[in-house]
Amino acid sequence: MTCHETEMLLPELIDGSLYAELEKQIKQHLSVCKDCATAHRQTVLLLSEMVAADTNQIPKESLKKTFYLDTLPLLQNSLPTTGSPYKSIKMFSFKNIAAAAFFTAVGLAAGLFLRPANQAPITVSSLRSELPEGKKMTSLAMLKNESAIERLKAVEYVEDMGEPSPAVIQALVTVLNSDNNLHVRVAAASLLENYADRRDVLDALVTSLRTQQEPMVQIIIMHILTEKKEHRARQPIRDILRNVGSDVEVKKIAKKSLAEL
Amino acid sequence: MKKFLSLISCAITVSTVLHSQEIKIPVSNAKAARLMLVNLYTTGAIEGYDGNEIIIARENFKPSPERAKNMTPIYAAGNDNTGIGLNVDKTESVITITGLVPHQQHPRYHIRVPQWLMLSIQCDCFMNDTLFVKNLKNNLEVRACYSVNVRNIEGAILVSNSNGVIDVALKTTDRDWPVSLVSFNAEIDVTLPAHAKASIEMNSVNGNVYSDFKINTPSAGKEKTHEQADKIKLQLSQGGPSIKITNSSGDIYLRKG
Repeated sequence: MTCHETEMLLPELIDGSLYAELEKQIKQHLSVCKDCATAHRQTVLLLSEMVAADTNQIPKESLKKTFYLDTLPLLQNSLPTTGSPYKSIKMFSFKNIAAAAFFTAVGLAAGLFLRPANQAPITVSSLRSELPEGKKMTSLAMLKNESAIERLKAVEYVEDMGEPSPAVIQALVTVLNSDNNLHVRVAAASLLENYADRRDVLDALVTSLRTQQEPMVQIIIMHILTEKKEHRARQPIRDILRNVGSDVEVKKIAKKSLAEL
Repeated sequence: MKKFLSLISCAITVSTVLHSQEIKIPVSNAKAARLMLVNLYTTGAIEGYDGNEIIIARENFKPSPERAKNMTPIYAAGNDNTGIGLNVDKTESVITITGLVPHQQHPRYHIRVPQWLMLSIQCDCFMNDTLFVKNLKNNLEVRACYSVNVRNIEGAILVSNSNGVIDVALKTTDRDWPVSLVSFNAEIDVTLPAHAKASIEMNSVNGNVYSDFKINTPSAGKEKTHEQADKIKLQLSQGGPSIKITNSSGDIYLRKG
């Protein structure tokens, strides 16, 4: 069992839907391969969070109404009027087939129309997609994890992904501006520095400098923008110098940066 | 002679009772719980141990005067529900202990915690003693103003401060947890085992980086651009858990243990 095969079958392993022999082989591999064992733990964590986030368990009232008014009478009419209903239902009668088709259609419609507007369906099968795409999804989800340690790891995964897409850059900028953990923000700033040749990254850093309050992050952003000779940084740096609340060390660095710009 | 010796030991016991008070806070499931210590001035190391109680003893404790009989001290920082100048707040999985006694009174606490607790420590800038933490099997997060000394932590280590020294020694890098050390002006000193496996990133804006490991940086021998000159990325023994060190003005030391 190779690492690639193991990682592709992790969702099924967690789902309990593998044949016994295959499950045994995968578990044997996990007991000796640290990387795959780590991937397994992370997939379990991600899936448990997705399940916990799914609070839409109770059918909406409109669906109940549809069932009682439309569907239930159909069901009642399809049952025999004499004797036990469980004896005389013919599985392949026209009415039963029609009722089954109707229920399938209702279920499909409910699935399409009851889904929250802005939420893309996240299913176990989406984790079976190509590993880089799966890793990107995992990273983006982990960037919103409650644990600062997991968010820090997510920034590292993003770094391993190579050239990030605009969506990933935006996610990193959001982390830079609003994560409540200093280490995660510093890691995001350090990672963004690797892509500071990109216009979208420079724009985001200049915007961020205007609103950053965390001294260490201010220093890192000023350093990046100074190195890149980004003149749009001058005004936010002047604002930092004028701000009475700015840290003394930050002001020292700001003076230096302004001189270099 | 015997009477004299027993009088002495009695006096020591009584003076111990008078000069320290201890509280114990039970923790039902340490592996799932998180402890936050806020503005506690410590004496000695905050130490993990194999038990299921948080044990905090206040040194040089002075009981309330006779005039305050049937009264409780009132502090600006919160409500003392322990009798030793602390507020303990427990939710399902988070225990927050806040130091209430003003720093001018030099309160000092000796703290032992179950080794499996996740520990977060936040110190204000009145605490200028070195903060020592050791012997934990779970994650540690520290936000301090001054020096921090960390030994034998098996979980993630996230430490930030402004001045002094961040001194971290790892016994092993056989772990899946990241280390992140961030400082303004402190010197950051990290000791790793001689055959450590780690993926290290060191970034000092205005300081220098020193090491006694034999290191070939990825760009050794190649032309380095100015922008990348202050960020050093390297892998010890072909890489391992992530260690990120970011310093504004201080130096960074990477030592072989």
